[in-house]
Amino acid sequence: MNAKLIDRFATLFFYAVAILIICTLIGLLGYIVIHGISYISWEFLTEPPGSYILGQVGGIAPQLFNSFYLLILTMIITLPIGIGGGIYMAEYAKPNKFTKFLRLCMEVMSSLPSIIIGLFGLLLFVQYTGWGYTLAGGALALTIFNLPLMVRVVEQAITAVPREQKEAALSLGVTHWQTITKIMLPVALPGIVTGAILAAGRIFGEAAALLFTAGLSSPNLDFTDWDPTSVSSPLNPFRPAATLSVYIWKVNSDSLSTETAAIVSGGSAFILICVVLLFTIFARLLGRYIYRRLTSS
Amino acid sequence: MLDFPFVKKRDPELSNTVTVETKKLNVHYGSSHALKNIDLTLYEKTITAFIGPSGCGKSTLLRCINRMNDTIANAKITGDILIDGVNIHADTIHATGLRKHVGMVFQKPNPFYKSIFENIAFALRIHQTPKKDIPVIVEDSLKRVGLWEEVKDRLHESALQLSGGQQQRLCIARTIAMNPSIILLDEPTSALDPISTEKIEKLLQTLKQDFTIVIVTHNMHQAARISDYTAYFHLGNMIEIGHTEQIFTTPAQTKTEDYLSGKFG
Amino acid sequence: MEKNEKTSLAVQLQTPAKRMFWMEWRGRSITYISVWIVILVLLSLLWFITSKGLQPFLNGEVTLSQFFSSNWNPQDNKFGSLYIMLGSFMVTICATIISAPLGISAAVFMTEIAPKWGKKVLQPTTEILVGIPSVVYGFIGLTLLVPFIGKFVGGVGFGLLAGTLVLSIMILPTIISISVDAIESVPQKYREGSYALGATRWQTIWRIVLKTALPGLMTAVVLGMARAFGEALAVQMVIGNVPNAPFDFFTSISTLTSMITQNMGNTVPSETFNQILWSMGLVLLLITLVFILLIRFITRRRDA
Repeated sequence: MNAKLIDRFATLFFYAVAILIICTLIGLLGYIVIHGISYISWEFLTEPPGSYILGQVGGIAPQLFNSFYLLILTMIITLPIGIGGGIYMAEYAKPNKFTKFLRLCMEVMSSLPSIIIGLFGLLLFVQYTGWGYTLAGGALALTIFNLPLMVRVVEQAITAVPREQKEAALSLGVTHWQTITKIMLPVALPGIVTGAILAAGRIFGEAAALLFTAGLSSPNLDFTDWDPTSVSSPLNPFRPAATLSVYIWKVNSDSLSTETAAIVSGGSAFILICVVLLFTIFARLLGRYIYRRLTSS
Repeated sequence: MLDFPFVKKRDPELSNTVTVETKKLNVHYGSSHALKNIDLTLYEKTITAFIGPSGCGKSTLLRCINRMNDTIANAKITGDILIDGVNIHADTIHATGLRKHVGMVFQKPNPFYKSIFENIAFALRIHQTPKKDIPVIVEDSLKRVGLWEEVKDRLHESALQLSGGQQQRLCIARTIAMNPSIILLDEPTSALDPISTEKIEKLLQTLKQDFTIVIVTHNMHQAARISDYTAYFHLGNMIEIGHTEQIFTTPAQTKTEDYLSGKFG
Repeated sequence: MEKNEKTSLAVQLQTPAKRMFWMEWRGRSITYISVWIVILVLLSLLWFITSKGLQPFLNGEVTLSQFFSSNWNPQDNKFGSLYIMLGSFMVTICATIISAPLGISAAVFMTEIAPKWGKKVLQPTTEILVGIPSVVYGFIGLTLLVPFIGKFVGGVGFGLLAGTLVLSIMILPTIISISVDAIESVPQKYREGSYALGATRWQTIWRIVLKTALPGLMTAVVLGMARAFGEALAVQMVIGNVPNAPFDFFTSISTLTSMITQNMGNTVPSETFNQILWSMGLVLLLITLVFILLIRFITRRRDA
């Protein structure tokens, strides 16, 4: 009887925990929506920021652009290395000491605090190269942040390819490398795409690695100038670029809880959450779509 | 004593040109001894069946002949395998060249996740077949496996839409498109229905005119029906090899007889 | 004649070899270069942070005993960082004390109590929680939690309590997802054996499932702690950033990460203060490595 009573209480407790966690999430999202949605306007999305210390809200256009641009730059660097590394881990790594060491490296790298990666980036890409705060430095720092995850995504996607596919190609006298690139990678593509977009969501929200690499400021961008070598061009990779996440942090640490700061960061946080959630949903849908195309004509 | 309804009669006109020869072939997977001192001879343009209970080493031997065991990290192979007198483990031989020469068909139909056309064209392109020849070879291969009429209107649709039997015939077409001299089949019909199985068995009889065929099968009746030679394997040993008619009527070894009469396996 | 045929076969077997060999070699090299990039980046990171972090001690500007004392006063060139390090530990431990039981309970709920419903709702919940950027957690902490604590609980709002609460939500998804893996890997027959002996569900969970999954659960908790220890912005936004002794929930304190975040941009590399920040980075890195070793130790014992 006693044991049964305890059992019932335990079940009740587990339900309570589950509900608590779900309510926490709803609360967090609700808070962001309530404190953000009313500030969203076309101007907010398309105008440069005002000086919020003086009470001007302005917009977040450059920050939003920087976030996406930085994401694209990071992916351009990360994808080839990540796919190469993932292929090595899945197909070429032999069970020996080097592979063990490699796995330890991946593990260490994926658990590094992002502020440490930021410090390393500051040292190497800002001070040592003499670039100062640049998009390129930020992209390289984010690459370090993202690379271990990308390698793991690719490795898992390739390992999940049916062995029969690999054997079929090998038995036709196709080299291992061509088997990987022409047969296995296309089959692994849905997994890689899903993983890459989920990683993109993570990059999009990252700020600590960027504070000291891409910087806290953004020059006045001229959105009609698309020459990457020009100073005011949005595409110039060697200019400082505060992203949306960095901007939220900066607004809040510059001006403690003023009305304007609340509006700017509330609106920005709302946009940030929306983009990250969209990435998550998009990742699942695109992965499923590619898988369907692949298996049926 | 043994009672098999269909045993292929011995064909007096079988070639006696040796195609594959193994000498003292041993295979170890880590600590297990998978094949023990195999001395095997296969003749040109014949069908040889490998039979025996699961884990007897018949698939392992098959996969030695085109060096598919290279992909297994802890496999250790000693002894010689000669194909037309050439040692396939010689330094100058690259596994890719060998596998083009020795094709393989697997237990589970495994078409690539590509169109029917691409399934055959893919490896041709890798091996630098002239572009204008590819459609000709694709059509010819599909005709030889009797699939052309069934798929000629949907060559560019996914191969995965085909039925299991069609998929397996496509895999055979893909293999013969490489113009090999030997075709290895690893239980090619075990995943198929009886009608598809019959089609493939008939197909093998016609392919025999051009290729040396080795088939691993779990099904003794299939071996009796289609093969010219049968080899019986047990626990990594090759117990006996001979003309199919002889093996299935008067086996020399009692172990073979016990297996064929259903005492075990 | 026959001999000729044999040579031609040998030639035929060898002809594509060179082309295929180079193709394979090239591809394999590309992947090899990729993994070496990863290794070299990591090694240079460890080397740069270590050498930079040791600088103030090697220059003799600060001694180790000064660094590990509690006397912090940068204007007076006193850089005792003990309270800052303790701050990091305190906030990590407090967050883990809240998050570990909750996370493991949620994992039990998802696997043992209501697998269908739990997976359908809690799984996406944790996925969304993990996707929320840390500045957003910081922003919510700053604008919701800090005023709330200041008004209804005590102090100014900034401090250990706010940091703890923010971090405990942030590490929750990590603990949940790894605990779920650990609990799911407990063989079903263990549970059946326990039920067959007449144990209740709770007794089975407590005595069999959690006990068997313990190494995995420990890994989950340690990974959560590592994440909490290294988290920078969210903590910095709510912790108050005054290096007080971190033993009171309601006074502002500092952590290693908050100190670095706050001051790295406001000091110049020639200052001792700036160099000390790098030393703090080194301490942070070393503690992270200890966490990783701990996880290795736990999982290796399980495998053995």
